[in-house]
Amino acid sequence: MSTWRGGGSVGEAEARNDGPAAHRIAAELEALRRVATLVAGGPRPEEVFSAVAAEVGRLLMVDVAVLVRYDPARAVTIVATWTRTGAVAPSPVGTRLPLGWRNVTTLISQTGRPARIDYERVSGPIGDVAHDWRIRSSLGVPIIVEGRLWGGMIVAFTSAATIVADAESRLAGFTELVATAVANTQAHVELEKFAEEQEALRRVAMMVARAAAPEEVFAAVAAEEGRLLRADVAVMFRYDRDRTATAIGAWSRTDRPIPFPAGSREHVGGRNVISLVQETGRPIRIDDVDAREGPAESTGEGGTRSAIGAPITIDGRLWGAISMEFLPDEPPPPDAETRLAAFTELLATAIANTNARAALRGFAEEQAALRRVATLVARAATPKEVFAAVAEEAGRLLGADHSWMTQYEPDGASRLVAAWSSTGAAVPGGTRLSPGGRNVYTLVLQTGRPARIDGSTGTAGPDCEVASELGVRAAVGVPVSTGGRLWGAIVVSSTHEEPLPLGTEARLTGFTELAATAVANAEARAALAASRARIVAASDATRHRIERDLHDGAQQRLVSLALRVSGLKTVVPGEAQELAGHLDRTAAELAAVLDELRELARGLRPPALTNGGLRPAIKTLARRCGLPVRLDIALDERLPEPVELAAYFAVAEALTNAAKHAQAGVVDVEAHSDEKELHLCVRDDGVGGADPRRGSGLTALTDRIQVLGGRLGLRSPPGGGTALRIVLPLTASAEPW
Amino acid sequence: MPRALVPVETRGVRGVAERSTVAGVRSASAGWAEPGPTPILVPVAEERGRVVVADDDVLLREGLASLLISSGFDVVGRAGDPAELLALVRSRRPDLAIVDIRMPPTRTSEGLEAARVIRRELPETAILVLSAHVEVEEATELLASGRRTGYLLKDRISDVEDFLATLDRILKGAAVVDPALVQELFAARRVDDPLQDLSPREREVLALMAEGRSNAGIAHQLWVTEGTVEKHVRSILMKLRIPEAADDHRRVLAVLTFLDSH
Repeated sequence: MSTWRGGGSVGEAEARNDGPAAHRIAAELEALRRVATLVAGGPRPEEVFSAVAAEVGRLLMVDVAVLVRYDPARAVTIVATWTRTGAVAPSPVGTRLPLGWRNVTTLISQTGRPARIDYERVSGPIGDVAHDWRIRSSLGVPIIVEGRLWGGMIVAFTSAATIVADAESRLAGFTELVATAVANTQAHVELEKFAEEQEALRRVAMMVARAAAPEEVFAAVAAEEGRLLRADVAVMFRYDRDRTATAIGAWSRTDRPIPFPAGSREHVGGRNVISLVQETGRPIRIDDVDAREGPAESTGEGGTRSAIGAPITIDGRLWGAISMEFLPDEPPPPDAETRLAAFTELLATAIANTNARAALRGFAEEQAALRRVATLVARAATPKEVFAAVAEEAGRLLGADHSWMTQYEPDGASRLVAAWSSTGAAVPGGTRLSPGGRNVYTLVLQTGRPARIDGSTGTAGPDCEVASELGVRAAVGVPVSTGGRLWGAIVVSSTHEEPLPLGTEARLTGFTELAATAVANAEARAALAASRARIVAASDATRHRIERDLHDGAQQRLVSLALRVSGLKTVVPGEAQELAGHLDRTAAELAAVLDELRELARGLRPPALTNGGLRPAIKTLARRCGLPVRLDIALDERLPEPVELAAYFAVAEALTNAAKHAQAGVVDVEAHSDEKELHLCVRDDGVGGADPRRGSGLTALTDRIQVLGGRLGLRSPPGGGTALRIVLPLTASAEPW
Repeated sequence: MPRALVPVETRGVRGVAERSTVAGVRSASAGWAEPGPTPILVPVAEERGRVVVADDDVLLREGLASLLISSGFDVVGRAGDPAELLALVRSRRPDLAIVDIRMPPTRTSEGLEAARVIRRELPETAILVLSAHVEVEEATELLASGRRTGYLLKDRISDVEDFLATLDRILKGAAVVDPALVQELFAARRVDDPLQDLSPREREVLALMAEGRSNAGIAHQLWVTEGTVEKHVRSILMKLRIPEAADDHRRVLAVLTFLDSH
């Protein structure tokens, strides 16, 4: 405070006298004291500026007093105005004017020292403003804060009066006060800003720490930074290929719609923050937003809006940018873009962490999905189940809209064996996709390698009716090969324009291997079932042939033979009784043999079954089994021969066991069929305790039933009778699945 | 042609008398019997009945044919498949067709189908179906198609006396069911066996009824009077709640149906 007296002995000389000088000094002191008191009270800087402008103006009895602040971009902002008349200042507080040309404000900025000018020689935008104010002569002194030129105090006359010669020194005191106030405030504000910044960073760091989704983090960052810098709108962009940028987080201080909502894509180019940041890789500030060129335009209302942007660099690579727009009456502070850049550096670290975490999470999700499918394969789920799981898990994991598994047919067409859709409206399984055309499944078939179709590889959208109906724009397909042969493909697709991520093919690999394993398993099982079926059929055919040979051969011949023997008896002479007796016995033997053969033939191929079907055959079995049997047979039509044979032998086996081992009083046989299956149950009230593993009859029966794809169940609790239940499908399915 | 004496019922008793009868037949020339001092019953060839034999096994067919011929039947046709059989029946109009149930082309039950056709076109023709196996469904189906129907195991033809007597019975209008089938039906064990109310004698009578015998035939078989048989029959029908049948043919059907369903 002691320096304010510097500049001369004016004050001392004056102080020795009473009169106008002393009065003036007293007034000065008084004014200074008022301002000092104000500053001490820790007011907002604007209050101090206004007070100083007023005091100075009154004290020096000028017409106009203006306080300006310099900013690094070689411009000044008016921070306080005072007019003696009280008229509204032509340029209000907040007006920003570029430095340059010849005027007091510029001179101060160039020299760092007081300056004064006659107004015939003033020029530049500031000069224009001075003309607006009708200023004739003015004086300006610098305001130095912490050794740096912060601003200037300018007083001016609109009349022809001249500013007193000692005005500079008289202003010095006030400039000191202003400097102090500014310094305090700045410190205060800096502290506040620092605290705010720390708080904002802390909030973002916490989100990152709790592994919030990247989208959340980005949106929060945009909001925090926007709030910190008091912007109107803040948007975080990611630079993509092809000179585009995608908005990934946006914030608006008001409810006005954000021009670039999250997810929107913009073309990069022209004179706007996003494009310039990408070009230069440095923070950018544009003060005349409405004069921006290029597609990234704002929906600004009247007034000059400013915009700033700062790059986001991750792992040394320019990853994206944050851009902010400010309302005309709330311009960004002078160092806003630098501060923004600092914040974004911290943010870049957070993003790098988030990316790493997301990658890890993605990896963990992938492993979990693969494990779920592998479990199905391991527990020998049906191929249909496995394929459905593959389609769903792959679709979900990759965030696709549709996910298919297809099987190639000999003509190059593909058949859908499983389909999943994120909306739940899946294409029905079994749909046939025509061969040819420009689509991933055909490309995979032609090349045997992964293929993709999206906007980047030509006309958008694959060449496929079904895909077009669904609105598919991008697709990736990978081959499924088994046993060295291309079996089918997994196809994931999206209805959005942007291509599926580059790593999609690689991530599908795990699924293709599992699918191929399921196919191989199913084919092996099918081959096994087919060979068992062949064995059973061969044995049935053999029995049939033997029975026929017996009937047509041995049985017929024996009957003929018996006839002949009978005929012989008639020519035996009456005396040869012994011979007649021999012939009688021979005939009896033949009859016995015929009986045996008949029984044998019945066992080979039951005639009742062949001619009449299951109902008469079971009735015959029931009659012959030696136990009372109650029948409940609701079968109207003939069933396929293998099914009837299996059912017949099952009942025969069960009845035999009941008669031989079970010591049963009665047996119940129940049979009925619906369109799909035959249901059979043979139950006795005997001693139970039957062991399915003992006795080859039940094993052979099980084979026969399994070959047909049926099920067999035996319940035989000791003392609780024995019940045999069998279910046989009536139609064979075409596919192993 | 003098009317030949044909035995009305034979009891299946083998004896010298029968044999000599056969011998007498064999020695007779076609058409006429030569009167002589000893012959009692002289069946004349062609008078016992005109028969068509259908079996795809040549040996059996010829054997059967010669048996028939030597027994006084006139074999007017031999067929190896249903088409031939039908053609012969239509053209020759035999009294009896003996049909193997298993014939070409499928060798399942062509014989039954042929029997149906014959019944439709020439209902007066007697039909005997021979089968390697007897099934009750086939029996009931055949018998339901009309009178003069027989269903026998093929083996039966080797018991010549019985076989020929059966042929005679069929020609006279009886329905004949192979005893083995009846045995099987009887052998079935039942819960709440309705047959247990019958006396052993009644069971015998029931079995013979099931075979298609008339009361007279049953009486002969069991060495009792016809009146006794009638009494047993009434008792059986009442106990089993089988309605009286208008004739023997319908009776056998009723009995078979009863036995099959219980």
